Amino acid sequence: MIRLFRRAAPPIRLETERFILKSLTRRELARISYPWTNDPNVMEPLELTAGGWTFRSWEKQIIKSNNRDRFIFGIEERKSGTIIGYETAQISRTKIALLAVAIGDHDWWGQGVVLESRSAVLDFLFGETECVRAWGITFVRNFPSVSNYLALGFQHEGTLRGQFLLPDDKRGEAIVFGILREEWLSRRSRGPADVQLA
Amino acid sequence: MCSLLEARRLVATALGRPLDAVEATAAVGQVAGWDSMGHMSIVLALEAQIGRMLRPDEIGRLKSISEVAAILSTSA
Repeated sequence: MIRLFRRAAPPIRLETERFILKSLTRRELARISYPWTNDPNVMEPLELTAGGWTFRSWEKQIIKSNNRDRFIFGIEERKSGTIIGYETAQISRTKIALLAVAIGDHDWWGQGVVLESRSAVLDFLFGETECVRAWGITFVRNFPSVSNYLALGFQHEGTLRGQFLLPDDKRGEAIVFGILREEWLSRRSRGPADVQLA
Repeated sequence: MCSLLEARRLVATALGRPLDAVEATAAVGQVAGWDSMGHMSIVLALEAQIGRMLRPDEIGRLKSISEVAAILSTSA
């Protein structure tokens, strides 16, 4: 059987005031994030159980990046050079980007990391690709995640009942947030994202 | 609107900020402390005040003092 492989596009580097977002391969992210798999505070928002992961099983459930329509950005703190979390973006055939983020380093929680990193990702998606829309989904009671979407101008588009898998196989509601390209560009034209009315 | 002042008080208390630091036009990301963790404090304080959990549609639009006030008004 002949399998055709298309090489990944060149890595991408995005820069913010405090961080550098650099393209990672699936394996690189797996290595960096494997210690976080024991932390329920990191894993449960991803609908994953904490603990019990082998390196291989963890690596297999991470998206395979290609820097064309599947991106993994490691969020590297400039001063220390440490990767504290990651953003992912997957662009569909119809040019819609699904976003996800995880900050594994607790010291950076509540420090505005996602506002800064996601702004850079959105600037990239809407400025450098043909993306027309970005969206994400989160557990309705994940208030830090909800606030990040709201602060960046995403709109609540719907509620998915029984969508979110909770510990002990319980189910909760997930809410969907989305933002259109023109909404983001209009917002950016008014100034830096972090001083805009939500 | 009475509930705007009430909303400001609730948010200020939840964030540990003085009342005059929380203007009627304040929104998430615009007040010191109203970050991702501060937002959690505000939502929990609001739920404690009104005696029920917020609905998903309320959680999905709760981003400013005016929305806090609207929930307080409808729950009075």
